[in-house]
Formats: sequence, structure tokens, C-alpha cells
Amino acid sequence: MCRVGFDMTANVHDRRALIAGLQRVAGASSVITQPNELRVYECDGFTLEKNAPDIVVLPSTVAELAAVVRFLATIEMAFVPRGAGTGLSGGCLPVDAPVMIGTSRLKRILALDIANGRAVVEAGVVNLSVTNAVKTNGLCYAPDPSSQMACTIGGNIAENSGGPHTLKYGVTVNHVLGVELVLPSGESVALGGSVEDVPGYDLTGLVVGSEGTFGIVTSATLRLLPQAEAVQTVLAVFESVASATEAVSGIIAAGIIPAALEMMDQTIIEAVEAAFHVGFPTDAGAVLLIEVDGLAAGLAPQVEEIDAICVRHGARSVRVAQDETERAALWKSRKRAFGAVGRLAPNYCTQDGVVPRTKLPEILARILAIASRYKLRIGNVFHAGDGNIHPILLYDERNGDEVERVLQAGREILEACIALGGSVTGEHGIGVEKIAQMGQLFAADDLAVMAELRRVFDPQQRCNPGKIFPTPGACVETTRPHRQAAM
Amino acid sequence: MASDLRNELRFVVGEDGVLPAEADASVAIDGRHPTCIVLPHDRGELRRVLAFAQKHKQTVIPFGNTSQLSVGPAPQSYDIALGTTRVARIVAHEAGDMTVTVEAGATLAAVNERLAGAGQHLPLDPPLPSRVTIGGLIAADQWGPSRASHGKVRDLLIGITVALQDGRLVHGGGRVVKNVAGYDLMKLFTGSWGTLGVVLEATFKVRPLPAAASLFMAAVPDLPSAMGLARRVIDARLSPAYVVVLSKGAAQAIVGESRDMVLVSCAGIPAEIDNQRQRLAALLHPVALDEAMADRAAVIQERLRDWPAMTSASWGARISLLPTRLESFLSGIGGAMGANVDVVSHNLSGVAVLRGISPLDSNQLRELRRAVRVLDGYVVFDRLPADLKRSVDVWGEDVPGLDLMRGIKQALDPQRRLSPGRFVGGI
Repeated sequence: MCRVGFDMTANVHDRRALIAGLQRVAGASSVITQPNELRVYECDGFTLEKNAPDIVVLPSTVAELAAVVRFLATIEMAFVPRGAGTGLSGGCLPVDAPVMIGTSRLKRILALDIANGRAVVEAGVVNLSVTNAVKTNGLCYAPDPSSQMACTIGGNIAENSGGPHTLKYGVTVNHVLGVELVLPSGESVALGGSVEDVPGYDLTGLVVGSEGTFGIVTSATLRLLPQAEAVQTVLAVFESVASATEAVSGIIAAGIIPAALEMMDQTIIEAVEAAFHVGFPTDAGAVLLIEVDGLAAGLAPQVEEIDAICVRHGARSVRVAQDETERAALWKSRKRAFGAVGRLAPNYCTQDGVVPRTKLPEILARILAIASRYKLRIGNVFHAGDGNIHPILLYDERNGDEVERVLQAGREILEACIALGGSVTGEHGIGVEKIAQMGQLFAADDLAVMAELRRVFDPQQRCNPGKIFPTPGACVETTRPHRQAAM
Repeated sequence: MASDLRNELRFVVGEDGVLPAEADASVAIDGRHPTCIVLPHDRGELRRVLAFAQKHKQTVIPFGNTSQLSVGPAPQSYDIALGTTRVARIVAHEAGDMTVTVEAGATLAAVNERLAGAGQHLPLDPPLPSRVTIGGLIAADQWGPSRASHGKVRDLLIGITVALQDGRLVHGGGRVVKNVAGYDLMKLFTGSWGTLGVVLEATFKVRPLPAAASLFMAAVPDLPSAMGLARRVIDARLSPAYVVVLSKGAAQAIVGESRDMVLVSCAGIPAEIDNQRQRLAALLHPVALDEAMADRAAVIQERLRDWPAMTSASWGARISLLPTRLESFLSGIGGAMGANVDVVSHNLSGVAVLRGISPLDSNQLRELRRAVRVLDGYVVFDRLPADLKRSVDVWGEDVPGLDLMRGIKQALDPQRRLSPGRFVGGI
């Protein structure tokens, strides 16, 4: 069923009335209606599909946001929530939703409780600003997605974002104790709280990762952790991805849980080296970035053991970052690997599959075979410790045939992940990108129950329609054959 | 009628799958007995029991080892006690992937015995692990001291298979440690107390067993001093596995000393523990630091873990507060309650288990809750005599998001066949 409030060309008066109504509840300066300004909001980091919203509202307060949602409820109009737009699965792409509600102006850090390790922040607060606000107190907010300089806490909650350090510290849901949520009816509810054990169902846990389909999270209570007393970062260079993967298994088998365990293959090494000159040998098959943290007294023995394990699995060299500058350079190369790939091809598309960790060699062999079958160049950067792979498919969008091959290869990679007992998304979300795979991952009853849960929060399915679930009646074809680029 | 029902159920689960209620007194809840006890042999049978109950309008209360059945208000109706203990296979332990997949009836001890062979464990330590089943662990969200460093079920459960009240199967998550496909059903069913479905199978992340561990203890004259000492340890950020405070009575039962105590557990590689030992000693000075050696440490840790279940108490509560507020609240509890209550406080998490030595009336229990609520905390009375349950709400009246919770119950169990009336707000 389509619930589009109006047709822009046929009903100019409706649009004017809608704009007037939104301006009345949110103030004129909060409502964006000019096509050139709206284009900014036509996609997130998943750029294969674009669709500018008809109207964007950027409320300055939670009360304004709730008033906007209440107003839309009275006219039964669908809307799409948006944070910073750094998502990677099209989670805030407007689909059957004329109005976009952005949380970017809800930027206040409402409370910091250092002794108890809690922060209460509004949804539009940028991920990194939470850690920046408490680092002089020796605390941090652990989830650190690559986009942490831009992405918002609200968006992190919607997607249950991860990052390189999730291996040891977990993902967003492990660090969110409570949320304030504006339901699609306009009613505000507080779920969870500041304490760890709140009676009742874990609705906070259910809301995190619901991709904005339950309502709009306006603020959250976050858990802050003490910064590790010391950190050591190791770079190990291998001849092949296979031997690097064996080293990963060896480290895990030795009972070491590194804070991060990241791998880049040769294609990525070349791109990163060309961009950042960190000293990666461009003829190496793979590099592993291994970080251990904890008490200073415990790190040296762990680094020694990691060194020995890497050497045993054929590492060409193992280097320990000698200071913070060197460590920062290594991490910069990893966190900006996607950007560096821009040098290799005009466009690229990143996948976000997961396999059981021991299946990494197998999935990489399959990716290699898929690349050769489709005559594509595919680089691999991934969270090896979690089995979370990010194959980067390089292409030129002007080459229609190549675009087709990229799409087909991407699908095959995800299907290979499912076949190996994995999942189609470790941290980017389903969004619009992977709706087609939901039916392969889940049975009809699973999807039916998820849909029932959604209706509890959003009976009319007006909040972020067209996401996660295959919806037979969707007005916009979301799996268009012609795709361009994604990060 | 009851015997007809039992006969029909025998067609579903076989002759030995149906027992009279008298066969196991521990399935009774506040003096209320089911019509029968059903123990299906496998998942297929378990689903068919639920479908049968649906068809015949019978209410079902699932159980594992029955230890948590006493928690929560008396059921509004109770026909079938549905036990999962025979559905107990360890389906897969992938040591290299650090995951384990088990059926609901397997005990935590059995799972950990299997994992230990590969130097791993599921780091959850609720009371009586040789009895607690995986299904009960999830449904009652059971935890122990290690929550301070490893988290709770919600932090480790990565996949779940649940049978709904009509016998439909629902899956969430999978067998990979990182996965955001679909709604997080693991969170929904964890701590749902048998009101939304019956857990059939679960997949957890597991962790390597630590190379070494040590238990440090310090005895002080009173509870406020113990709380202050614990705060000093927490603020020093030594990465302990847990920091626990025991009131005198609890310390008598757990350590064998009738003094208020702070227990600090450290786990890791020997170099880390040596470092923690030195720093703790300096931090606590002039209070003496006692280190429990191997066997004694094991005994104390076991007693600490099992204490909420073993102690004979007339009432019991779990309190959840911000850690600093918990410290000050419990520091004053001696004055408020005198020697009437024993306390084990998990200071890193801000939760405490209270066990009442002498009975309290409903006004006193409500007063305890009120005092915690004004500090934005919660009290769950996890042990109450049946008569007090009628005048004191076990879970508390003002649960945030209760309307949505009722909506979820309505969506998944519209006829209220599963554990009716046993959870928050009469769910």
C-alpha cells in the first residue's frame, strides 16, 4: 500500500499547505524546500540509488521534532529520518516518504557523568564528539565506525554501527542503555534508562539496529568506558591473504582478543600506499593491522606472542608502531582505505558480508573466482577478527556492461556468504540495498514476526517505509538494475 | 477433562513425555499446580505441544530447571508445565569461530565443559550452572559477577530459534559474531520470562579462558567503608574482572568471615595480574590485602556465584542504580534495615542482590522500592512469599515503555497462552 501524501506536480496546493504546516510547527528556518538544496539529501553513502525528498525539516529541539511528527501523523504522511547521511545501505533514502526529518541540529550533549561512565546525548551529536568530550577524563565511547568524524549517534543507533574495535568492545547496542524515541504517532517514549537492569522487555536492544523503522531516536544514554591504559599496534606483512588469515586464526586460538584485527589485500595496499605513503610494500599479498590494548604491563608479552604467531604463519615482516604518530598513520591508512581506492577506478561499490571467521580463506577464494569470472578488480579490506568482509568492487559507471557485472558479482558474493553460514551485513544494515537478500537469510515466518513487531511501533508503516523488508506494494522500484557507485 | 488432555498429549510426546503435576513439586508456583508436566524429546515435539495447547486453549508455562519459576506474580492460569530439559543437544562448537550453538535444555555447565576442551568458555556465571539451562538463562536473563567484564546474555547471544505460542518457528541473528540483518530478536527474547515464546536453540559468542586469575579480598569495619574502598578500586581503572562488596552476613556465608568485605577478581596473563596485585596493595594501604589461593579462591567464587540461590531468605530483591548512587544507598541500608538484610553488591555494574533475614511487610517493601525509585533506580523482588506478591508488584509499577511491551505481547501471543500474568504490567 502506498501512503504518499501528495503528488508534487498534480497537487501544488497540497505541497504548499504541507510546507506551511511544517513551518508552523518547526519554524520557517527549519524547512528546506528548494530543489537545489534538497539535492544534498538525495542519498547517503550508498549512492547507487538517489531520490531527493520533497521537503526536509531540520528541527532545532526534540519538542519541535515531536511536533513535526505529530503534524505528519494527523495527515497520515510518511517520513524518513536522517542523521548525517553517512550510512552505507540507503537507510535514509526517501522511498514513498515525501518528508525527511533530519536530526543534525539536535547536537547537545545533555549530561556527562564521569564517575558512572554515562553520557546523555541528543541524536545529532557526532560520534567522535562524545569521546572528545570525555577524553580528558580518561573515558571514551567505544564504537568507532570509519565515518566517526561525521556520523551521528542517532544514525549509529539506527544501524547498530560497528567499527574496527568491535572485536573486543562490541557494537553500538552493547553501549546504549536507553533511548528517547518519538513514535510515528508523535508520542515520545523513554526506553531503558541510565541503569543497567530495567524491568521489562529489552526494547532499547530492539530499537538499536531497527534502521529507523520504529520511530526517531532523539536522545540516548550511552555507556562510557575507561580508555585503555596502553595500546600497541602491530603491522604484519604477508605473501598471501591465505597465510594472513591463518595468522588471524592462530592469534584467536592463542586466547588473545585483540582490540582490532584488520586485513587489507594487495589491491588495497597499493591504493593506500599511493595515497598515504605509510611504507607498505606494494608487492605484499596482505597486511594485518593488529591492535592490543589494556594494562601496560600486559602488552609486551602479548605483542611478543603475536609476533611469533605471525612469523610462524609466514609473515615477511612484523613491525610494532613505535609511537602515537606511527600508530595514527597506520590507522589513517585503514580508516581511509575506501577513499584511497578512488585512485584506482572512477567508481567502486563496497559489500558488507560476514562469514564465520574460519571461512575467511574460503570466502576470499570465492571472491577471487567471482572477480575473475566477471573480469572485475576487487580489493578486500575487512575486520578479519569478526569475519566481516568489505570487498570493494572497482568499476567505471560509464561502462554499462561493467556496472551490470559489478551488480551480479556483488550479489554472488553475498550469496556465497550466506552459503558459508554467514550474513549479508555485519554493520552497514539492510536499508534498500539488501532487501532482496532478506528472503534468502530469513524464513517467511521470521519476516512476518519482524513485520508484526514493526506494526507495534508504527501501525501505519509511515516511518522509513520501503526499508529492510520486501514490500510487495512499494511504489518505487528499489532494486533498479542501473546502479552507480557506493562506498 | 485433565486425564483426557494428558492422553491426547501422549500422542504428541509419547508415554513418558507426560507426567502428572505431582511428579515434580518444583513446577508448582505459589501453591498453584499445572494440569500436567510435558517433557518433549525434541524440537518437533515441543512445537507440536505448543500447537496442541493453542488448539485446546491451554496455557503453557515453559521451564528449564524450575529454579526461576518462583519469580514473578502467580500465573493467571496454568495448564501445562512445558519442560525443555530433554531438548539438550550441543549442536555445534566452532572453536575457531568462537561460537557455540546449543539447544535450550542443555545446562550451562555442560556447555562450558565442552568449551573447556578448547580452552574457551561462555563467560556467564549465574547461580548453580550445573542446573541452569540455556533456555532458562536466556528467558530469565540470568547473570553473575562476571557481567562486569563480559556483559550479560544480551552481549553474547548472537542467534536464536524460538517457538511461538502457535508452534511457529522464528529465527533471529545467525552464527556469526557480527550481524545486523533484520531486527535483533535476541534482545527481545532475552529476559522475556517465557511470555513471548519458548527458546529452542541459541548461538553464543564464546571467549578464551583466561591464562590466570586471582581473587583479592579486603575486610573493613562497616559497609560504608567497603563501598568507599570499592570506589577507590573502580576509580583506579585496573581492569578488574569484577569488584563486589559483601555485607557481614553475606561475607560469613561466602568467605567465612563475618566482616564487611570487598572482593576484587583479576583475570588475564600473569604479568597483568602481578601488576594489579601491586597496585591494589598500594591503593588499599593500610587495609590489608588478602589473596585467596587456588582451592580457596575456587570455593569462594562458587559460593559468591551461588549465593542468590542458596541463601535461605524470607524475601529477596535485585536493585539497579547508577554505581555511585548504589554505593551511597547501600551505605545507608544498614541504618534503614538494621541487621535484617544481607547484600552482595556488584559495584562496577550498579546492581545488588538483597536477601532478607527477617520478614518485611508490604509497606516496608514498597518503601524500599520508593527509596530506590527516587534515585532513578529499579527494584525487582525476585523472592517473595505468595501472599506478599498480591500486595507488592514484583516488577514495579512504572516500567518505561509498558504500552509498547503490551503491544508486543499482543502481537506474538494474542490469546495470552504463555506464562499469562507473570511479567511486568500483568503481561
